[in-house]
Amino acid sequence: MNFYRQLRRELLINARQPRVIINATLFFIMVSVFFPLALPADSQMLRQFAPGLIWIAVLFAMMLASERILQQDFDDGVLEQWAISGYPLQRLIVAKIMVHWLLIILPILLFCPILAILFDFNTNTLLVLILSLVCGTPAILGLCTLAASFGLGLQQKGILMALILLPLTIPVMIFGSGMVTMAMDEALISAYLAILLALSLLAFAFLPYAIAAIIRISLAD
Amino acid sequence: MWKFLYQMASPKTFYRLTQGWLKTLGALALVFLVVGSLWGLFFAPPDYQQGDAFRIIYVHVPAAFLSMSLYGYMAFCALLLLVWRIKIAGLMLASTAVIGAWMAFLALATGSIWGKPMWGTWWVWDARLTSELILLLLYTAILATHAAFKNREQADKVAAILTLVGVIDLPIIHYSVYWWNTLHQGATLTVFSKPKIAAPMLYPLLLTLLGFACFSAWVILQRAGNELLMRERRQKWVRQLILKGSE
Repeated sequence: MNFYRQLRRELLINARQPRVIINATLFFIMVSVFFPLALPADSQMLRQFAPGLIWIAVLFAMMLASERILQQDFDDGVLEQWAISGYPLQRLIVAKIMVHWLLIILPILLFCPILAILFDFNTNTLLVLILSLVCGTPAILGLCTLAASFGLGLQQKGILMALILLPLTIPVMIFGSGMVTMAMDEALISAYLAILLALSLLAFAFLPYAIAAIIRISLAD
Repeated sequence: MWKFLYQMASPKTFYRLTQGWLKTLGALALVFLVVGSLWGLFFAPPDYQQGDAFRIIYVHVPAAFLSMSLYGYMAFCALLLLVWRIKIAGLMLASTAVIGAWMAFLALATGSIWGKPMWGTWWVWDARLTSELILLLLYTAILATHAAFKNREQADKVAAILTLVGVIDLPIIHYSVYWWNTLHQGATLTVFSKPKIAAPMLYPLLLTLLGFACFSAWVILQRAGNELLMRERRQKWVRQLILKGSE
């Protein structure tokens, strides 16, 4: 019951203040549209780089969005209330991550067909791209939230987040973009998909505990 | 042995015991490093393939080995801190992170220097090299996070959590980088495969390895001792120590 209330709360807040989600989506669109402009216009080479570029754009967009994911609640004292409420903090964190994931990934998925046109993907590749994003981004958002929780009290936390995220998201990036590359080469994606799903499940299962622990430590000032 | 470990958890006893070891550790480190380096640089036979350029191995291998084992030690300290709440473990974690980061950097730098004459390139996206680079990034992340918190004990705990997340991720990272590398690596680059190392070359390597290990332990205990004095400066035993030292 509490969990659904939490979900409703997050959805309401983000519906009333969509600027974080909109920022992240616009950033993703900008990056993925401008990347080809910075590279030579050879469309064959572009197709080779496209999966990696799209995944990097998704990573940056989520990093941008997650900077604010916990900060507002921390500043308002809401996190503190959650911590002492007796309700498991990690479940509240899970609700928060779920809602943010849903709201960030939907616009990105809607934009994917346009990306397919820009980069000249066939339908199979487009579907695999969407699948890879759906299966891989929970892990990325979980790690972004973890990085955000490290920077809760800080001013300049962008660089700290990037530093923490860089090594930890490497497996997801490798398998996510590898999956799309495999699809472009008309090869089987099942291995990549399995590992990507495993990473997301692991992240989803264990990171909330780490995030809750860090929040408690940050609050124990 | 358990009694010894329990005693080590007390700041006062920890300080007394470890400072007593410092002289021996320092002397051992000096001896091992000097003997090992001189032996390796001058007396070990030149490699049939690489000539004298292989001698950088006497810095490269110990640095790489230590960067990894120090991270393992940090993970162990993180567990001690978070599960058993032993504050000294947090102190050791913070002190080890610095030297571990330097070891990783040294391994990468000496590896690059070794690679230029051997492979013709400063860098190649080999699985091992990329993993070491990621390890350096992890160390940097841990150091940055630790520095971001004003309260030292808070900083230790947060660094401990990050270390644990990193250590769980490390096999995943290594495996995924290996996969990425073996699937996409071009066949034109031949990776240097370490030949079975000959005995006259092996002994100085072991000596420098021991030397690096003793040196790391020495530096870590120095840092930990100083940090401990800073943190516990209001305790009576610290004030007595200062008074005794200034006599």
